[in-house]
Amino acid sequence: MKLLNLTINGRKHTKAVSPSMTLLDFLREELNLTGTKNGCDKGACGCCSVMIDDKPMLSCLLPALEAEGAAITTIEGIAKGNALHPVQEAMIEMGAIQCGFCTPAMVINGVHMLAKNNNPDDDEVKECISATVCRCTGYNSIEKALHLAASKMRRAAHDGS
Amino acid sequence: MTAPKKDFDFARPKTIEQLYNLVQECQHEGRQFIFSAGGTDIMPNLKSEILSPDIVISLTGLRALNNIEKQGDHIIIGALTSLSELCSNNNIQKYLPALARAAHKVASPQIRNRATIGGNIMVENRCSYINQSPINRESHSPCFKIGGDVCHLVKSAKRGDDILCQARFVSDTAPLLLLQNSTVNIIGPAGSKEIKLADLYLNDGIESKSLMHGEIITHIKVEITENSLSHYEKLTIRNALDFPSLGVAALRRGNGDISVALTGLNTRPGVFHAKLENHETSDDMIVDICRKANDFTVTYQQDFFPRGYRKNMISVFIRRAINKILEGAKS
Repeated sequence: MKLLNLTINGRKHTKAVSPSMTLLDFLREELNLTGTKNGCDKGACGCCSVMIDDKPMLSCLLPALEAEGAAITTIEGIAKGNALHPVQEAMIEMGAIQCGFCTPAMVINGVHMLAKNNNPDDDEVKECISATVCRCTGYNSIEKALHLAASKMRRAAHDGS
Repeated sequence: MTAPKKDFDFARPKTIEQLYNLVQECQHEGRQFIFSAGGTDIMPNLKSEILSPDIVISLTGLRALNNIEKQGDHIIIGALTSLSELCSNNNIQKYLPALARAAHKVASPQIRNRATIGGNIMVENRCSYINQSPINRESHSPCFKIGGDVCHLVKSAKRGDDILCQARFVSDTAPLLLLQNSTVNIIGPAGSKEIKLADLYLNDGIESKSLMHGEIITHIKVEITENSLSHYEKLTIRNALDFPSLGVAALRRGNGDISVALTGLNTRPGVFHAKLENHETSDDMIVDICRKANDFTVTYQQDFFPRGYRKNMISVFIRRAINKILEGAKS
């Protein structure tokens, strides 16, 4: 066992972990943050996406100790209390959630894309979710939701300025 | 396959000195070690038991190796630069746009945020037998690559053959780097050296790189070619996540000579040249390159695409890449 220090959703954690434990297992099994999903466990489905120092990465392909000192955002850290993020609101409004298994990863990747660019074109939206597998929706409603979220965020930025 | 079957230890040294103290310690104690950069290729191999080291030594603590710098006629890329940093870097976009395109074609956005350029040029050769789950592999005898006595692609292969393993070379970024006469800086227990990138690649799918155990790549030095144009084309079933079924990088130098480099079609990358004659790119030049490329290629039924289709696509993709360059030359 080795000691791991990291920040998850703004909260500092120090915990002893097995060196061969992945970050995904650490989040789910040690911290009970089960929003991050384990789909394929080999980097092919995207369901385990989390933000590490503000970049989406696959937590199943990372030894937990690799995240020493990092700031991690999981789906549990996206909403502010009861106030959903515009991406989450838009996913609900567009019916972009069916079984919900891919939703945390879709939201994480969408939030990251829109934080950099709140006016993405179709290709950028498609690329954003290109490596997160959804077996229910056929992706159309998710793409529409991200466009809707973008317009919500543009409006908010406009109203705020 | 949630966790790797065999537990491994993990270390992340912060300096080269710490790294080699640790390597020395491992060698002294007889512990098997592997290096990991982004780890996006290593982790699946650990989980599927293709690799089973005692310790994984992460290189990500060596922050000095994460930078891109222009020095005169060269761009120096730190081996730990992530592929997404490479894609968005101003110097790369300005001087090596085809490298940015090739890096952008690797895997997925999440993987590119993690995977490094050093790791991509060192990516392990792949084959449709070995890169399967352990459950699938259990139904076959072990192949040469995992110490067995058979090749499931070439049943007639036997120990002592020049090329024992036909696992394919699949790096997307190496072809263009080869065309730009890149060199790699290597450090190891015995000191540092600089070799041509072309000399990194060997003929066999098992021992596919000339890097010795314990050595790491620190930098890649890429030549900027004056007035050149280049392009990368990749054949895959999906836009994301697939390794190249075949990849073609093409470069037209200021003097009109054309070079092409291939990936995904042999155990190593291939590079071919055609000299400009009569001041105009002739179809003969392209036919000549396609012929050399087809001679070099060793395709087996080892991919989602049928073997015959993949062979036919070699010339198609070479022409596509060269035509793209020639369009650019006109505009």
